[in-house]
Amino acid sequence: MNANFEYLCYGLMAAWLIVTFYVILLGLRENKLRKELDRVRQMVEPRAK
Amino acid sequence: MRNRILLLLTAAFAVLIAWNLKNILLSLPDEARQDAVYRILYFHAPAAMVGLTGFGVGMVFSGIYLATKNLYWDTLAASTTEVSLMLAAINLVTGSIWGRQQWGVWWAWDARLTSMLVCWLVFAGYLMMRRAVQEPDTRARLSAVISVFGTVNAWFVYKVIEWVPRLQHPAPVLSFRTGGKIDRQLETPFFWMVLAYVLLAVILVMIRMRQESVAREIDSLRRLAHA
Repeated sequence: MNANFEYLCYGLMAAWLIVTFYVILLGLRENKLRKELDRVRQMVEPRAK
Repeated sequence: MRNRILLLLTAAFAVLIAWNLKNILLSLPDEARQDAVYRILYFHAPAAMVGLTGFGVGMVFSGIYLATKNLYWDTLAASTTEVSLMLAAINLVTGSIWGRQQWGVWWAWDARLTSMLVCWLVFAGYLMMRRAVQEPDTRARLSAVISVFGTVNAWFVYKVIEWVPRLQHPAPVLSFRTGGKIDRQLETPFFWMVLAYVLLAVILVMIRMRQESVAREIDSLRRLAHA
């Protein structure tokens, strides 16, 4: 493969990988927060009753 | 309502990025000296432009927090800064790959590259500081201070290629910069990529803000549980 195209591919892959990594990080953080919210809600609900 | 806006923005981003990729990879001609690899710059430079502007916008939000003491603005500043840091990372990594092909080295310690790296490290430090400080008002005030330093550095990153001659990094090429003489055909897709990155940044900041509101709900429920 032409070296020019090879580095173009690396550049594009790197840009998309960074975005994908960040989006996965956001997804994991969201899951953790939702689980924590459910846990705290369950903790509070008996008191509310 | 917010979810619907998020969905609409994501759809707009998907269409725009597909159209941009088609234009950049298939429609544009190769550049005379660089051949095909110059196309990396459509991902590299707009990422810097939106990322550096995002740091400035984050500083403005921090300023609004200092004036109003409303923590919503601090949260918005942190979310904007985090997303901008991701864009700055894209700029650094893609620039390094382009440099390897064009200059034969992965990195050069010239004023532009070094100041961009310093800027990235300052804002990475900003996010680390926010994890370490628990008290919300102290955290917001410290964030505002770091944000001012970082944004001054970001302004230096932007201007340094006009101020310092003979850098390893190329001089300005866009038509609105001093000395910029890029062909219109090559410049237009650049601005469409800027718009795509702006859309991406807005989407990600909205998601971060949604997470922050969940975190605030958890905090208030915890306080209720311990009351």
